[in-house]
Amino acid sequence: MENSNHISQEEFERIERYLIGEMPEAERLAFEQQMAADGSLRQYVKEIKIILEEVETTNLRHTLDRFHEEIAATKTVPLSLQSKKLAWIPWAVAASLILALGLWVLVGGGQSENERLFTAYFEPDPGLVTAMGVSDQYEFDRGMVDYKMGQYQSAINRWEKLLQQKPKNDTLNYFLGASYLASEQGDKAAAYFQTALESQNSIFADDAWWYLGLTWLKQGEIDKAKDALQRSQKPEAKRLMEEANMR
Amino acid sequence: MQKDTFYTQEQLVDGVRANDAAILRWLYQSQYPKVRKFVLDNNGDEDQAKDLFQEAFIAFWGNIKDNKFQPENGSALTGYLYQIAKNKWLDFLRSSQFKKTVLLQTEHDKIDEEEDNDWMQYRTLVATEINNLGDNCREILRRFYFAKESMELIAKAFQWTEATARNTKYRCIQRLREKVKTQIKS
Repeated sequence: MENSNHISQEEFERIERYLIGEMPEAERLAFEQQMAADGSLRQYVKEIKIILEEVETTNLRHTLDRFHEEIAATKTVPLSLQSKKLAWIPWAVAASLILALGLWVLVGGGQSENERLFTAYFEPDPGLVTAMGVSDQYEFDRGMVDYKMGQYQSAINRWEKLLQQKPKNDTLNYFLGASYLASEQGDKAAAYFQTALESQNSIFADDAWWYLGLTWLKQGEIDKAKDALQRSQKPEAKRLMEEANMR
Repeated sequence: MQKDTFYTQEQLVDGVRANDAAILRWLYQSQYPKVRKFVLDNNGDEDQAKDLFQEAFIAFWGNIKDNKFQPENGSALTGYLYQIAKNKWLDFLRSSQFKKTVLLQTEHDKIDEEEDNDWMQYRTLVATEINNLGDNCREILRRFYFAKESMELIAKAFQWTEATARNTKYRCIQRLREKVKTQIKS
């Protein structure tokens, strides 16, 4: 048993090629014939097959755990576009602050003070976790998948179509603003945030004021930026105003 | 080919087979909320929803790899994942309603039907011992067998020659086999 456990590298790689399907047809048939006649070869193949399967499964498990943590770290869902009063969890405010500070240290000259502050404080909204549901929701979610992958233009195209049916919807307007801002089209973002803010009690209000403030800051509209930031309850807004001497 | 959101069925199947991170992530994160809701609506809690969905996902992934499922229409693949999860939860409810000790089924169930006890034990030991390998071994095995990276790329990442990378991979597998063998004897 001791000796029979040893497989040479060459033999191992042959078995591996068989198992991962990289053996040419003729060689595979010959190999299968050899297996049929050789019990210890069959044993090795089985062992290595199990090992390769378990390596994959183990790594898949780790990967799934990571995906799950990503969900947990993102906002919870307003399941319907109409609902505006669902409770929501402010997302990792601390994390974004740390990142903002890190960016602030990293970014240097060549930018105006306003640009520098924008870069230091701006981090795209992480988006919503979505569940597939009714048809317009479905289309909205497709846009959200694009948005999360950083394909902002594609998200914008989908959502602007939906916006024709629901021009005042706060969720749509908010994420359209977020998409424009994240794709460096700040000039178009402000109007969407403002429309989102027209909804009463929108769950996006704090975030929309915050991003509207950043939008104005980036445009160099300091008075408007100050007004928007003052209305946001987000702690970053206060810090940004202090740093920008907006008081 | 019809679309399952913006991926075609073919892209999804290929992505699952290749362990493509973007596609696995999309499948996981788009389908989890539905399954979670189903479990929570049916006497389950958050932890059970997560465990159940992950077991279902692994079974789903295994079946796609083994060609046990051929998608036919638009939402076929996501529907299939949801169905597996739902069935697993219903099985669990049926079996555990009055018995507290029944555990969730694992992805090995189907294999186990065909495998005798010795191979079941072998599989369990392998799964344990993988986690006891050194960092280099775990990383090289992950990159080659899970992420499907080429040996050339792996060699570069470790700043090895390709021959060294291949030999290291071989020795990692040998080490795993030996560790498991020792355990079986004792």
